[in-house]
Amino acid sequence: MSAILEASNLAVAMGGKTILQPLSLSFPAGRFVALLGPNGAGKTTALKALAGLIPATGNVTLLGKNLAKLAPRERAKSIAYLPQGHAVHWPLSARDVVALGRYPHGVADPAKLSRRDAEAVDCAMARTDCTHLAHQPVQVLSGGERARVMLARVLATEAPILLADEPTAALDPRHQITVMDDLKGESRRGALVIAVTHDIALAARMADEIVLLHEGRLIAHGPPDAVLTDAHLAEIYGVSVARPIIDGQPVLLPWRLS
Amino acid sequence: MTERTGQAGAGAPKAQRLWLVPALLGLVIALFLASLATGPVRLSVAELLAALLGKGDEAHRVILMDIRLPRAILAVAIGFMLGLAGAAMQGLLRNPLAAPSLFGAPQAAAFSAVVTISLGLNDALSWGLPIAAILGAFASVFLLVAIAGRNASLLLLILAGLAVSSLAGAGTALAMNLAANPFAALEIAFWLMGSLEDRSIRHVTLVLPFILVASVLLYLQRGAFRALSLGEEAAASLGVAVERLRFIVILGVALGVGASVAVAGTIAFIGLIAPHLMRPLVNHDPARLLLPAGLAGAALLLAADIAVRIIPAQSDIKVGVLTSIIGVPFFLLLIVRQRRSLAGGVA
Repeated sequence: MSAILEASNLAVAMGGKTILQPLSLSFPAGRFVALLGPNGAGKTTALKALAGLIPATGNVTLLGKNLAKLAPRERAKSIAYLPQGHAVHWPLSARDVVALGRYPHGVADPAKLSRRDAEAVDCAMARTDCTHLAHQPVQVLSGGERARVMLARVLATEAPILLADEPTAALDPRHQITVMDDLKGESRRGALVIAVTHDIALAARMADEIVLLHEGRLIAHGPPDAVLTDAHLAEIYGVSVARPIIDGQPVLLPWRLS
Repeated sequence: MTERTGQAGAGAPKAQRLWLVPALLGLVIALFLASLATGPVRLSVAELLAALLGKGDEAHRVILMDIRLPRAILAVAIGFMLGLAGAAMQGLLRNPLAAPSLFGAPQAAAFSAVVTISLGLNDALSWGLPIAAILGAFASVFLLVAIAGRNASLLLLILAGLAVSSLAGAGTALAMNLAANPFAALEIAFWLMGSLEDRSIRHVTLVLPFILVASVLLYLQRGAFRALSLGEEAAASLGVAVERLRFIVILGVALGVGASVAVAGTIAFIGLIAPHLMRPLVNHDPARLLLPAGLAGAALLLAADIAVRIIPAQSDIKVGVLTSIIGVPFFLLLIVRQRRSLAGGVA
């Protein structure tokens, strides 16, 4: 399988301090990848470097093209990035926020979308179940609703690569599952989805691949069973896990400090 | 911003308010004509029209073309520039309290102007003062970039702006302090208050190109301001060159507002009030805000400039003083609202 996104010797240093040690990773299209690691492991940094949003050394290639050499709009058409926190600084309507996902495609005014752009916006909102929120200002939405609107914004770009930084943080269990389901759905439609998360159990259950980082270093990259071993979890998270069988499937459960 | 957003939500969902820009244009035109009609010599509508078309009484023509027309044009241009610059700054900073003076360009322009006055290089028809002021505004941009560095963060730029404006303020004070005679100091003080009195068509031709270029420069960034609603990181991921955008806004504001200061002195608060008045009418969209904010700025400055001519006073009130007097209570209102929204826990 040929890689859609490839990093070779990607490293990040800020203020003379190395935040991300050189790492090389390669991802094919259509996979759902969870980026795991304890706080301070460099997950967000790695994600931003992969998105080309922060200065980094090494190379990221996007469908064989050097990411650093792409024009910002071209890069934005290929990589949709969902930052942490879901901040919106003005009380824009949900639909206007989602329409910003079409900005890389040259949409200047969300009030005047072309049919193609409107279709992408409506489709993204339908997929994340927020069509009914379209005309509400995002500021009045609940955390779960806002998370869905922000996810729709990223989907509206229709980028082949989707990077999400803790998309389930501060969400109730229902919305955690909804958002992860939506992201997985995108990967099944052919996109490469990489999501940073702290939810080891959800990642183990849903992701195709796990990338495990610790103190700025790549520890392991592979299928969940191969990466989320007792040894890794004890060494990196300092926890021991239980693996009860639910619905015939082993479920990973952080149990106690190891 | 809980309450206000609640109101926006209750409003018609797709209300585009297509009447807004035409209505503001109408208001500006009406105030423009009112400004032409205002002055010690009363002119009837017929006399006004005749003089505008180059007919009628010679004295009326001179009053209109040489005295009132430049004043009214400057009020429109400078008011528009201040409103637009305010909206652009607020869009860039994602903060309704940001003003065009934040990066120090107006203060630097004022400082250079004051230096030419105190050195006695300025006489009624001299180009020295406005050109010095524009150069001062430009110098402030270079100083800002030199202090904050290229690709500086917003916080660093705000701090550098504070340093630049403090330096310009100190320089202005020093120039007044060292002024050759009390009259020079008084002239500086009056000039700093901001006025559109006794400006000629030459001032108009000097300032207009700068305002035009600056307005186009800022207006072209409207899509980027909307993307910035999601924060700098998300905007960058959408393809906005955030660092370039910052530089363009700083440059545009310095160009336009610097040129405005060059001919009119410092006129405060229009850049803060105009965008804020218009924001609810454009559903808080920072991109759709730009044009209405500019027009509202033009209307505000025209109105203020008419008011200073009507208000009976022993010596005439400077328009910059009036905008400040009206502006401060408004600013307080803004802060109180901000405080309430912060207390509401939704920031």
